[in-house]
Amino acid sequence: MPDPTAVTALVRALIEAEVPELPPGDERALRLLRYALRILGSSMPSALPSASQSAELARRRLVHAGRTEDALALSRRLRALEACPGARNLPCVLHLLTCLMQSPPPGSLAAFARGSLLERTGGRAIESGGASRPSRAAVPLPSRRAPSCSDGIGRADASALQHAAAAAAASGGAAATSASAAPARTGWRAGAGSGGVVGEEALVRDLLYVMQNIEGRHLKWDDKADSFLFQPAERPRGGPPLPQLTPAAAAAAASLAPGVVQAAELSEWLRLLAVLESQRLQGLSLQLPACLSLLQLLVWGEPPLQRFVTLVAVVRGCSHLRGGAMTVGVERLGQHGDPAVEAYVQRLLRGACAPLLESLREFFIEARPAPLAELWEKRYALRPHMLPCFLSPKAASRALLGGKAINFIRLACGEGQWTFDAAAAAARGGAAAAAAGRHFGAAFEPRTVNLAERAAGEATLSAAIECACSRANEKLVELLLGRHRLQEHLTHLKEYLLLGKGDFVQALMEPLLPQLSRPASQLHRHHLLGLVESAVRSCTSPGVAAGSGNVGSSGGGSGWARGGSDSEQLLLLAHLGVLLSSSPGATGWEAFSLDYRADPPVSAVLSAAAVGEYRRVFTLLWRLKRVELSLSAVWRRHTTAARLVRALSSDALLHRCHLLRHEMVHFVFNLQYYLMFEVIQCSWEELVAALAAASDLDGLIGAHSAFLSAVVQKAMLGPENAPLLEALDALFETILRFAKSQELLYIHLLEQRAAAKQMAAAAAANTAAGGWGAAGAAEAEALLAEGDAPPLQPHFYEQLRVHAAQYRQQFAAFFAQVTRHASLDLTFLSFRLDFNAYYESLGGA
Amino acid sequence: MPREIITLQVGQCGNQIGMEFWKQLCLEHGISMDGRLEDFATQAPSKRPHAAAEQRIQRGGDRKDVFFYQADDEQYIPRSLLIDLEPRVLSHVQQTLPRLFNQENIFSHPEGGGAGNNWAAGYTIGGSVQEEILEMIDREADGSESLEGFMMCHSIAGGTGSGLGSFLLERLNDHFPKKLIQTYSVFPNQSTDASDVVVQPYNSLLTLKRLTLNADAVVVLDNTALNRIATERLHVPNPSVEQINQLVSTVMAASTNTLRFPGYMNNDMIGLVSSLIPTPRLHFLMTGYTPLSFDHLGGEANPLAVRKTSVMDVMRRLLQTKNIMVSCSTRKDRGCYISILDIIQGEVDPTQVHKSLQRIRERQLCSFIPWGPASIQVALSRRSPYVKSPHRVSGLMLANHTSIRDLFARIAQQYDKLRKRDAFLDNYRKLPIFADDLSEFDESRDVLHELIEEYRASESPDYVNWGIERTPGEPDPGAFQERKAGEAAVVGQG
Repeated sequence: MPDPTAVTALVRALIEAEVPELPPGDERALRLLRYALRILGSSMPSALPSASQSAELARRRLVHAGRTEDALALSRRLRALEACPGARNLPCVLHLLTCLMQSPPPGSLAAFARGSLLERTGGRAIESGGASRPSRAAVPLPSRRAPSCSDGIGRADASALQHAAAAAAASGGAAATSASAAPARTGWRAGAGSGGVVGEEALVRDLLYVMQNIEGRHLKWDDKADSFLFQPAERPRGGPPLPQLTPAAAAAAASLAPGVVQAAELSEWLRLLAVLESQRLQGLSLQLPACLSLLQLLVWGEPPLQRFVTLVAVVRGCSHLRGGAMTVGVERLGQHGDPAVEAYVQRLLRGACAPLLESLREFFIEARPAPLAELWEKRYALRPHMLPCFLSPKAASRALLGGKAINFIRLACGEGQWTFDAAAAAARGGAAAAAAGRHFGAAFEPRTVNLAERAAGEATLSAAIECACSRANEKLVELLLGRHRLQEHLTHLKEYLLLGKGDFVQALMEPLLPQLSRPASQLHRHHLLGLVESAVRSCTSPGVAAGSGNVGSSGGGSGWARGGSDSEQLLLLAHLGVLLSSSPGATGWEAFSLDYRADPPVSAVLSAAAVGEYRRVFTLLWRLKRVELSLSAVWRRHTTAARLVRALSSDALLHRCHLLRHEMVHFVFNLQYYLMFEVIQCSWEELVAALAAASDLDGLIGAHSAFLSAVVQKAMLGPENAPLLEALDALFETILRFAKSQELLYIHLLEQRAAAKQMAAAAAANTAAGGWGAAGAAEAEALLAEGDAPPLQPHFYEQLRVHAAQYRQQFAAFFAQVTRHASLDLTFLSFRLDFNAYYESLGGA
Repeated sequence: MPREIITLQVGQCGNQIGMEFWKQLCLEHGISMDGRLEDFATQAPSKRPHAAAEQRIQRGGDRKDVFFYQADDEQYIPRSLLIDLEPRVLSHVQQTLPRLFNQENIFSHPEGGGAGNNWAAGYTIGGSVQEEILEMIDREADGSESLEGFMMCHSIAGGTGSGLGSFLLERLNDHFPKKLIQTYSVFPNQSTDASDVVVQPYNSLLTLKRLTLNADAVVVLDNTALNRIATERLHVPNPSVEQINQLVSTVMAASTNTLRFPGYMNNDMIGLVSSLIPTPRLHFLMTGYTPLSFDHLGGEANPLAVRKTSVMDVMRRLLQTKNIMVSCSTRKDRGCYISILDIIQGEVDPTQVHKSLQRIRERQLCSFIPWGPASIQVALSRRSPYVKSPHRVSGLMLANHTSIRDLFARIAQQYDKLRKRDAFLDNYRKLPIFADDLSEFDESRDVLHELIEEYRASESPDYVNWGIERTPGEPDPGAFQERKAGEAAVVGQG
């Protein structure tokens, strides 16, 4: 053992050289000196490597550094040294040399030693019993490398961690603090007031208590110091056990995600404590004094302490955040220079994401209570603030879409068992999709220091989401268009509610004619429904009923195979209904409307509101059809009447009626062509194309609503076209009144004709009976002659005049509106209505 | 509820074109020539839901029951009566299509002598066989659920189709006053060298009276024009009767297309003709069809004949006189269109229809009546899924054009020439209707004259006053006219 004074002098000189800013008499310099001396004087078990080991290590280093010649030289010298008998302490010397070999350059070594020493000596608070807070120094700065990560976040987080650790890791801090005093293992000199010596076992026991947040005999909670302090007090205190940790823990527990991590952390911590405690007890029972030393406690306690410090910082930083927002916070704290901290935070982040995948409450997509029918529109929504950092908004919306599709398939389409077919997915080159869940974590692998890799991870995640989303939607579109026959439903709506199926409309109109002129209150829905059903049946199973009894009707039902028409009929009848609106005083014509009920999943596209729009279009077309049919009836009457009257160009009145009717027919037909063709058919073609192109349900819904709104708009049913619709209604009314008057005129003609025939017959009978019959014959002749041009009562003329004037005026008003209309489509209509510029010429005249 | 139509094929020509018509219909509905549904038309819908839906949409829509009914053994039977006074053509039909027609619907006169190209003979025999024929018609009518009317195919120049046809038209009027009567009337070839029947002007005139007074719509099929189209447009030097009849059946099938493949409009006969015929007499319709090609005539396909077709092409060509199947010019200086209906079949881009109409209007490719609104109506019609056409789009035009009076005027002229010489009247005088006098001729001539005059009048804006001078004394027609002027002013203000 060298001379103690010499050693002291050497150490002092070293301190002066290394820390020149400290004046020699300074308290800190003294402390450093004492500390150094204690280290030197300690009897720490040294596990020095043997001389040969050290030599081998040094040689390898040299070889590794490419200095093979030096290595050879080293080997030679060593052999020489070993041969030399005066060499003492060879292993120690060698060890020192190898240590020096791997040390950083002298300057940095000095700085490191200085900082480290200062910290350590700062921690000597217990010994001095002073006001200096032990935990402050005991907390190893997590931001050792923070300056290199010089951005603001890094700094802020570092300080946050520091503060949090100061408070919450009190127990660990205390352990560390006391452990730093470990070299005084032979005894513990208590500070002021306590003359007793506290044994190491007692301290270890107390520390273990403290680590569980329980005051020990010597270590007490100090409110002022906000920490556990070594106190000689005998007065036991049952004070608040966890004043600091509790709020932090509560805050942490409030947030589910870190709670999971924390729970894991705590259980690990408790396990450690249990191990330590059992070791201590074991030591006690075996009467071995040094079974668990303070130093061991320090070593054991260090890693959990680090983690706690970080955890608390994270908890502090993110306690107000939830769900995806929390992952953002955690991830930001993880952008830290210290790899250990970073790795730990990444671990935390992964743990924090775990519940995201399971618990909807914290997911960035929120599920609201909505009925099944509104599953698609209302049930799920994005919560932008919950969006995890590693997910772009676009990817998130795709994820929402995909998730909606999957749920829709399972809930609304009745495909509860449906899952991604991994094999199929792989076969489609979408192996990534099958492993979507796995890749969800790929974005935050610990390797994320590498930004490129991280970006790649995110890209993989986005791609996986995209793939899963498109696969789910593809399946959904396929289900809707396939098994759930969306297009067929739409075709039905077009054919039945938009009167696209002319023969059905006819078959329906005929039996309904007498019904609908009655007041709506006298109509019965079920009766009308029956008529609708029979009309459907007569039109969807062609060629079955009619005329089967025509030839030798020898019985035997017609078993004609109807192919697909049966199922089509069933599908249709299941959905087609009748609606009678209940406005008081309305006639059947005003109240009646066809209805269509779509069930989920088709109702996602064909919502009740959409069907309502269809009904509005139906009402217009139905009225128009009625007007057309009554004009056809008038045409029929006119041709028959012309035969009755039996003379060419017999009558000016009839001729005028013909011309007025023709004008009306022209109007009604062209309006129909416009509505059915330009409006519905053209929009329909677009719809069919859009349906074929749609890749998800939103696409289908969008295509359909675009179709519907286009139809409503162009059919003058938009709110801005109310005056047009009104004018149209007036025109329809006039035409219907005209049709009625023509019916009366026809009946009148028939009566006249019958009377003339009767007269003629009477006269003939008279003559045949032998009478003269002259007067009668003359009369009959006169009547017959008049039959060619029957005397028509003036009021028919008057009526016609009124109708003609009314119609032409109303038409002119309507036409003028249409012509001036801003919409291009209605310009088409005006061009159709006056193709030969007849009305234009009238206007110019 | 089908709007059934009963077809009456009268006389040699009527039965020939009728046979071609039914062949075409069978083809289009997937019915074999013995009335069975072809396999390809009965195949069960595909298992794939998409394909099944497509098939349903594609196949479901035809209405066979308008023209056919089903016997107990599911065989499709045409709602058709085959009527002739001589057995030759009927037995040919029975040889060609032995199992298609209901044998009970074939009427052949027991004496089998025919009408000898004499209208009066046909008309007279009609009186003697009317009971039997009307009973057949009644039977067919009773077998229909909601009979819409009758369709008669006949020629107006011979004896049976014209004479018996005329008789039947009158009887149908009385018997079914509410049913529509449409005829497909073949007008004789008027080029002098081709006219094989010297008395055809007599027959034509007498038939035209009935067509004017007793029919609701007459589709005029002018042999002169059909032959011209076959030679000039289709380059067949000497078209056979079968080839001409195939042209006719093409037109007939196309014009009934909207009844058999219903769309949103024009799904019954009345819906088809009511907008075409403004006043009861002006009901003579012309047709045009494009593109016609050799496959319509059963010959080898001529690659030159298949052109690129678009809606625009089709609609423009339909307005060209050379494609009209009546030998009357539809050029702008010759009369005007009263109405037009284009039935377009095939792959139609809906936006094209509008563009075509716009262009036709801008370029004034056709002239319309000046006394009321008129336009080209376009009905898009589905094509039969069973008939493959080399053309993407094809179109039929049904038009009411005033120049048809030229055709009537030529008939009147030829009649006048014969009548002036009192030629070939002996055979007519032998029969009861002309036993006393020839007043029937004169009446018919008057009716034709009135018809020609009305068509002429309809070219002028004064047509609104047509007939007023003939019925003076009624409430002042002038007042009406004045009011009309006033209304015009109202239109102007609007």
